[in-house]
Amino acid sequence: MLKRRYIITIFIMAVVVLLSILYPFLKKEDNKILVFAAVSLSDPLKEIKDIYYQDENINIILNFGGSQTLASQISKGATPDIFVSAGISPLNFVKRKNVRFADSYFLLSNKLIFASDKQIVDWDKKGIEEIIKSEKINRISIADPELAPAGEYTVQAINNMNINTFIEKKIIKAKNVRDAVNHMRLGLSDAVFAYNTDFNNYKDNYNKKFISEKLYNKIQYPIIIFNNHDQVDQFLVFLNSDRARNIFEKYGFSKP
Amino acid sequence: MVIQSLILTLEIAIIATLINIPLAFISSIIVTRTEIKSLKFIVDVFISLPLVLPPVVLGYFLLIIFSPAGYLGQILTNLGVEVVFTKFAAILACSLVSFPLMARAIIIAFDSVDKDLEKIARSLGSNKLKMFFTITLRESFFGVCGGILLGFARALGEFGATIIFAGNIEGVSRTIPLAIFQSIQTGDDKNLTLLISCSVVLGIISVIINNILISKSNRKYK
Repeated sequence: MLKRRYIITIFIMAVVVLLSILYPFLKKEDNKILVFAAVSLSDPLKEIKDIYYQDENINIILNFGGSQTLASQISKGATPDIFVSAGISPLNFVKRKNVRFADSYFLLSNKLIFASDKQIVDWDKKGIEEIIKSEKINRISIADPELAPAGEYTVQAINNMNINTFIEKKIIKAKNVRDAVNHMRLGLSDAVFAYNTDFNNYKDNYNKKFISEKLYNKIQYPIIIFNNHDQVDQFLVFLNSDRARNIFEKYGFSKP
Repeated sequence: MVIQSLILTLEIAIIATLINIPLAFISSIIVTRTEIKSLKFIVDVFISLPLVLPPVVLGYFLLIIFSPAGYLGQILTNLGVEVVFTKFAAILACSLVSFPLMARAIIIAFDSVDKDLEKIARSLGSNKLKMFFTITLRESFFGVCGGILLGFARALGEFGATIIFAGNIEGVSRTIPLAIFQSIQTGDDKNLTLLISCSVVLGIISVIINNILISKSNRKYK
C-alpha cells in the first residue's frame, strides 16, 4: 500500500510540473493585436511592429502565410484582429464564407515588373516584346494564374500586350510568385514576371522593367478588420500615418 | 532570428516529447499486452493514423477543434484559455505528429521483451507495475530510448500541422522549418543557409544517436 501512495504522489507531482511548464503558454495576453499578413509584407510590417512597440508598448503579433491559406484559416475559426491580404480574391473568399468583419479597405498597392538575370544589350531601350523574342530568353517563369493573384495580373498584361503567341512556348508556371522568382535565381528560367517588391532582399543586380499599369488591373492589398476595439483602431491610424507609409514605400509598396 | 528559432524548436520539441512519453507508454502497453483484440485494433489504428494522414490535415483538425468556434475551443475561451496561434498550439501539433513514430518504436521494443521473464516475475509475486519497471522497461530500454528520440527528431522537423494550427509567428511558433519557409518566401538567403545547416546538423545528430541506441538494443538480444 505504501508503494501505491508513493506512485500516486509521483504522478501528481509530474502533472503539476507539466502544468506549470505549460501555464505561461496558456495565459491570455491583453496588450496585443494579432495580425495576419501575406508573406510579401513581412519586412515592412516587422519594422512597423518594432516602432509601434517602442512608442505604444503594444505587442503586434504577426502571422505570415500565403493570403489564400490565411483566408481559409480564418474561415475555419482563426481569429485575427486584422488581415492584410495580397490581392482581392482572399477578401472575396472571406466574404463568401460569411465570416463577419467590421470593415475593409485598400491599404497598399504594388506593381508588376519583368526581370531577368541575363546580360542583354540595351535593356533599357528595348521594349519587353523585343527582349522576350531575344535568343537569351528561353524560359520565362510566371505565377500560375489559377493559384496566385500575381499570375492573373501577368496573364492580363501578356494578353493586353498581344505577345501570347510567341511567349506561350517559353512560359513555365510556378505555384506562387515567390517560387517563380526562385526559378530564375536557380537558373530554371531566364526571366520572370513578378511584383516590384519581390526583389527587395536580393543584392544581385537584375535587369528590371516596369510593366505599364494600363495593361493590368490595379494590384491592391486590402486590409480586413475583424475586431475594431480601441487598440486596433489606434494601430490602424498608425498604419495609415505618413511614418508607416514611408516604411511601406521604402520596400516598394505604394498608396492604393 | 536563427538562434531564436533554434531555441524555440528545441523547447517545443522537448515539451512535446515529454507530453508524449507517458501516452506512448500507456498505448504501447495496451497494444502489446492486452488480450482484447478489438481494443488492441482500435488503439493501433489511432496510433498509426497521424502517421498516414498529411500533417496539414492534422493541423486542420486541431484548428477546427480548438478554434473559438469549435466545440472544445468554446469551452476553453469561456475559461479564458487561448490555444490557437500560441506556443501551446505548436507544442500540441508537434506532439500529435511525432506521437505515432514514438509509440510504434516503443511497441516494437516492448514486443521484443521475452514474455516468459514477465510471467516469472509475476509468479514470484511482483505486481504489474513493478514487473513493468524491473522487467519490461529494463529489457527494452535502448529500444524505448530510440523511439523517444525518433519522436523528438520528428518533432524538430514538424511543419505542416504547425503552420495551420499555430501559424508562423516569430518567437511563438516559428520553429526552424517555418523559419526556412519564411526565408525562402522572402528571399532571405543569408538566414536560409544558416537555418538549413542547423536543421541538417540536428537531424544528423539525432539519427546517429538513434542508430547507436538501436544497435545497442539489438546486440543485447543476440
